[in-house]
Amino acid sequence: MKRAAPVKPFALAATSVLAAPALLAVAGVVLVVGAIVGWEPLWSEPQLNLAEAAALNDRGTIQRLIASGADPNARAPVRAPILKSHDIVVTPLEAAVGTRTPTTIEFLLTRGARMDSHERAVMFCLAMKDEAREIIDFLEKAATQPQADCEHVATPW
Amino acid sequence: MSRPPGSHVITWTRATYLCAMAFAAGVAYFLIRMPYQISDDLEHMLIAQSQSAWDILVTRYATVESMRPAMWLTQNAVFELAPGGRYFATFKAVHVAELTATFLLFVRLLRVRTAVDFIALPLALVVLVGMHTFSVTIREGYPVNHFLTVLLCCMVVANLADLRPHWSHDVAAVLTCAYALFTIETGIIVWVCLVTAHAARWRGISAKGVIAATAIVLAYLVVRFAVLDVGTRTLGVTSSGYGFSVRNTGELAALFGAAPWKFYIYNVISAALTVLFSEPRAGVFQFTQFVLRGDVPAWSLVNVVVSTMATVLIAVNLIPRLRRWRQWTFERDDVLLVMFVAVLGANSAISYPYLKEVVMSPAGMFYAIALYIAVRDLLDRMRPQTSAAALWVAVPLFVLSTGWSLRAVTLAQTLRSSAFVNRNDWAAAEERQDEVRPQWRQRHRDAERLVRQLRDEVVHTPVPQPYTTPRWTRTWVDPY
Repeated sequence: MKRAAPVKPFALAATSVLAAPALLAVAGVVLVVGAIVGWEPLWSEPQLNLAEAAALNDRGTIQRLIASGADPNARAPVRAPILKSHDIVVTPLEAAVGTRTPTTIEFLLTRGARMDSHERAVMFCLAMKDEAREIIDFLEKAATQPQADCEHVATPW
Repeated sequence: MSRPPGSHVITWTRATYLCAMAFAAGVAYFLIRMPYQISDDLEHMLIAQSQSAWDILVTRYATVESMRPAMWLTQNAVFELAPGGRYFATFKAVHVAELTATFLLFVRLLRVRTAVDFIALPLALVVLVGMHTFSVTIREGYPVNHFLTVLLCCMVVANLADLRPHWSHDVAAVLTCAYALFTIETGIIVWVCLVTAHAARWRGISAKGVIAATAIVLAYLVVRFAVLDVGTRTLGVTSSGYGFSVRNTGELAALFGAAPWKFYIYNVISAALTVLFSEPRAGVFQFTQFVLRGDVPAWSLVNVVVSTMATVLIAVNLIPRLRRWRQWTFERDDVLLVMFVAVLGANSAISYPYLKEVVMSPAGMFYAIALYIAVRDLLDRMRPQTSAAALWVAVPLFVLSTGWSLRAVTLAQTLRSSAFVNRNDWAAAEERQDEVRPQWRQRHRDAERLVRQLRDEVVHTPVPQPYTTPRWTRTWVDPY
């Protein structure tokens, strides 16, 4: 019976040193070649609507969409799992409650989003449900009238 | 048919440069797509727009705690040269050119001539890329990345010193030293490289060149501290890591106000340790804290384990050379290792006022060179071995190599995450500028147009959404 050739320690050590870094070098080349032919698995951006961008705290997309004419008050579907485990239809301001910070809400307000009393009530109740403390504080600070009773406010989630 | 003598050497040399280009391409792929951070970047471009090169030189040759005329002039030159107002593209082109040149000069210094040399090469490159000090270095543009400029200048001077003597090397080395020094304070490390290489008997740059560079450094120090009284950062000027958290200026003053030297010693030691062991991080003993909490993330464990393994390997390789060094005899590898030790020491010393990982990037680069030498020597020693016991060496080498590769992958994820954050910040560029520099609109009649142009360019740049990154990667990718 023919015996298998013994593994040389040097060969094994060399492979151990070389394997992972060499893979990275190959990956570098593949990335560049892929980019040339339009294949970018590590740098692609999904198409988002304004509500989805608000839910993701993506102010770059919000700025771009509003500049190209998108309505900052229009309701739009937010796909799962961006906000919830199912699709949901909300305004950008309502979606922004999901970020748990008022940054995107303020950003939308300076770019044409309107927060009337109904919208404020919905946002407040969503923030209460999510225990989004920063947003509750922000809405309370900006409030001119008492906050709504959330038992009587229909919310998208 | 036998190959002509030297053909193997040429083959390995070519393969080496191709390997360096592959790594540079991999990093550049992410770099080109990532928008720069808005802080410093926007402000510096508005300054370049509103001031001529001469005005910049006259008004900004020195500011509080910094003297960086070359930095301002470089930014202004690139801004002015940007064709058709394509500022980001031009600054990115400079960034990628610096990156590629640094990688090529880095591998040239390793002098890969054999198969064993080449086997160790990709590991050296992943250590360079995966080192946490490099990650911070590469991801920011101001909009010219001055810390990367210092790395490049270190490599230029080291490579010049490695050549045969020629007067042109002296001129180039002195100019490189001066440029680095007047770009950013860390540039003094370039002079350290020059002096160390000469002291270790590399003669590509003559004693006259070293004396000229030293005179420039002395002149710089005199002008900075005696003539202009620019000073330097001291305790209480900026926040810094200490113990298990980042302390603000008030806390630092309360802790060390009576004896700032204690804090300075802490910083110098911590700066050296962060390169050698990846702990502490910017002065914060992060891994230790994770251990005490009983919850160590995989990325932190990987960082500390592979850094410690690499440092032990370097030490084992370096210690037997000490006897030769005491007799002032240096082989080629010895010179590189002496440079590593000198740069680590000098780099740590200049970190005394506060800790910033990016400042330690030259030491991190020479650390990669030191590890290359250690691993290559180990592989060389293993070549004639046939005993099964030698097989066990492969296991730690595999852990070392794979761990550092994972750290290099972390850089890619860091650049992806930074891209999203930076684009978000640019979306509110005007509001931000109103807040930090209320008078910015009055500086130039076209200031508003420039800000809008830059903002629009950034918000139209596609960036990866954080939610598309699989959750499991958070365990393995260093978020800092």
